[in-house]
Amino acid sequence: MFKHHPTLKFIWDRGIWYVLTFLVAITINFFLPRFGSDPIELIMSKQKGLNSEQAREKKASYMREFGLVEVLTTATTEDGGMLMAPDGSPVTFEQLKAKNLLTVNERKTFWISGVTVTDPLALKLSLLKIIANGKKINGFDPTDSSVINPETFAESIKDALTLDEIKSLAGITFKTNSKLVYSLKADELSKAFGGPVTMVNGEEANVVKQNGALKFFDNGDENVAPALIKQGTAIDSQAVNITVKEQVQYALEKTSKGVTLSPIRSPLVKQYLLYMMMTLRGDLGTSFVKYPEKVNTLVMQTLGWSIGLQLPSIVIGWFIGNLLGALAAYKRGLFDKVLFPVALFLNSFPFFAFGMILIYVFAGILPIFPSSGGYANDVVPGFTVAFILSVAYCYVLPFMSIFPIFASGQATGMRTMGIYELGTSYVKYAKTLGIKENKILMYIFRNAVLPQLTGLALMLGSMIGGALITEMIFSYPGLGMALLTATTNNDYPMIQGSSLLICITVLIANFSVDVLIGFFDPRVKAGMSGV
Amino acid sequence: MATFEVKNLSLHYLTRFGAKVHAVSDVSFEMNEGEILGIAGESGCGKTTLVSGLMGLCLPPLYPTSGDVIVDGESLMGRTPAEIRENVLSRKVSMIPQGAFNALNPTRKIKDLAMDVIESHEENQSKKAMYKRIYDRFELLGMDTARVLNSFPVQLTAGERQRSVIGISTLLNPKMVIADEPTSALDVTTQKQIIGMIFDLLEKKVFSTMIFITHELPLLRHVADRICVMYAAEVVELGTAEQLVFDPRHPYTKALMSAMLSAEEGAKGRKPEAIEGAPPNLVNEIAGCRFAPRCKYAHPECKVKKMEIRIVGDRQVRCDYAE
Repeated sequence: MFKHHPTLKFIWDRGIWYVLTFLVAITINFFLPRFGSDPIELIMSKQKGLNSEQAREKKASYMREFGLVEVLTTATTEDGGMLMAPDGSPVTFEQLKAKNLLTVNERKTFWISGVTVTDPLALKLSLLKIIANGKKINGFDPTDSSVINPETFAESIKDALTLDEIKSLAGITFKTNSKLVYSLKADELSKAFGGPVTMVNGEEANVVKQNGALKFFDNGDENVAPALIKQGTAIDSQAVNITVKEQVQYALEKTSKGVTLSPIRSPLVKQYLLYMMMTLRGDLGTSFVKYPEKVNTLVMQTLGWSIGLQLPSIVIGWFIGNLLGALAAYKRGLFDKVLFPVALFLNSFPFFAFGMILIYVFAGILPIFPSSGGYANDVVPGFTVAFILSVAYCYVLPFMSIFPIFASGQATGMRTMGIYELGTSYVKYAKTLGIKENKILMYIFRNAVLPQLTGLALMLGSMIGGALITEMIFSYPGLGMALLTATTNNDYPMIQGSSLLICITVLIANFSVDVLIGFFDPRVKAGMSGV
Repeated sequence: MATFEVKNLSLHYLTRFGAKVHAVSDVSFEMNEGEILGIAGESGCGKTTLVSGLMGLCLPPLYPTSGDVIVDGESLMGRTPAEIRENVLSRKVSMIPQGAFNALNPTRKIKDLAMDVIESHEENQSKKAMYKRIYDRFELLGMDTARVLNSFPVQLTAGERQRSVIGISTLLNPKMVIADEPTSALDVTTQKQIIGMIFDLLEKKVFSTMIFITHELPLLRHVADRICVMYAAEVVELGTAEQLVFDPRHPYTKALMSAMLSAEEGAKGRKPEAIEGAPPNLVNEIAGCRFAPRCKYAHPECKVKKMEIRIVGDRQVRCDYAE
């Protein structure tokens, strides 16, 4: 492939290995929590005060989030019961449709689940227009100029206005849901499935004998789905009302108390593929502890803190470290004799230990700086002067615990590279040619900085996960802290998501270095094009 | 007047503990325009140190002890390094280093390095004019000029790199070119190519006066007009190439010649005669002849009596007993 494009071929050759590594990383990430104790059992054992129905729902949702079970669109009764075919498998909406058991009922139900008034004046004008056509809206008096209360307002227009009229309202945004109602006949149901269809609810299992209605939710807002099911309106009080709901697949189990539904675990291969698909789509799952918050959102909230702490320390540390190292290599003498041992000492110092010493000295003995947190407790996060000052104040110690150590590492590396380059033949030759001193210095810096650039890119890659321990020591609200909290709470999706994110950034950094070094260093470039 | 004159040049290295290593002592010779002088000697006899001295580039820990180098009537000693860089290096004296591969900055294109040389010595040169100048010079060297100039050293063959180095070294038409072991550690074919190249350049008048340093005496016969043999920091014999190769007078030159392997008839089974012993330590003052401990013809007084350069016929020999 790419026979005539050596550069593309080079990128492809490297890239394919990175993609493979990434897939291996996902695989490891998938299998690790599946060794040892079951994460679902662990998290369920921490749940208190749930009845069996709620516990089942909760467990099912955890399992679903963790990719342990298959998700089907099942026919479910309003209170969470399920229709089960004679062979014990859940009846799906697709099955009902395929077997022509559903007849569309004309009635449509529509409701608003959330209202935000964006422009009260425009809203008032459009409402007045509707009222002028002879409609009456409860709770809205055109003569009263008081502010519209979104909560009661939603209720009142829902009853008074048609869907089209509501949609025509200006200055307001809605979250809307509507549902299509199908009717379902019990005798046809049992005929179609070749036996009695059971409705399982709680610990009871009853054969469906009455006709009912099936409500199909056209869901505009996925987050409110469980609540909406309860808002469904029964069409026939005698009937079994069935709603269509995305649900995990359950198996019917007979126990001493009666019956119970337990989610069917998918085979491992299927779980793996599910997880793989989810990850490749960029979905890191849902946190167990902060359910139903997505891991993506949680990670994004912490990411800014981590990057804010690490990026300046790395970039400033890289520049200052390399400058000092280059100076030490070039000047030698006293400057080098002082700088080198200090840099070597700092460099071999574990930064978490350095952080602890800083806390002990500057927050303990001399209480100048706060010992923990990203901002003071008494300020509200926001774009205010007080908040920014507080953040800057809390930033000093964590920054100082990383920056000197990183800078000294760069300085020792640069010094060694500089001394090596100074002794090379090309520098000696350049000197015999009488090339100006500053030009020779530029040669040395240019060549010595190449491996340092690699180091910079790698550090930027490991930036997100680089200061985990520092964040833990300083209780800094970054990814490290989030990971620590997740670990102590058995929040497996969060742990998996964060570690995968760290892995991805490291891989991307490595890949960029691999490719970019080929463009910066003619020696590598020549090897690349096969000259 | 001679173009290039070395007058009793002595150089020493200062070690960390304050000891002086006299790496070059009392070297004198003069050269005229168009002459090629070969300098031969064992490893460690001071050849490369002498090169630094000849260029006036004495950087610590190397210091001049005494003597002078005069190029075109200008003395090189006692001038600041900045002055030497500005006026002497590349302009008057230039060096062709050993191992052209490592001599070129790996991350700089040949043209950029060449431009740096011009920019370092001449102010306010336009890029275009410089490129033209470099291009013409490289064209003269008979290369695929446009490609070579726009290449990084790694992209060139060994021969192209060597030519580029020669081209860059002689860019500012120096009076004197010093080739410091340009053929060492190379196979015979490549050696031959490089010697051929140097002759080519001499023919094309790119440069005319040259000092050729090597530890292979027979090679010098093909290249040099005169040969200077060094031993333990001193010149032991200086004469024409024919004289030194076929009729060496100093015991060291003789020993050096008989230690050489040659392709003559009946050479099979003949043992090359290694010179017994090792060169003296240059940190200590040496009272007598420096070669005396290893000399086959040594007289008892050789070890105490200091040998001075004598003129024997039309050559110089540092041995009182040489005829």
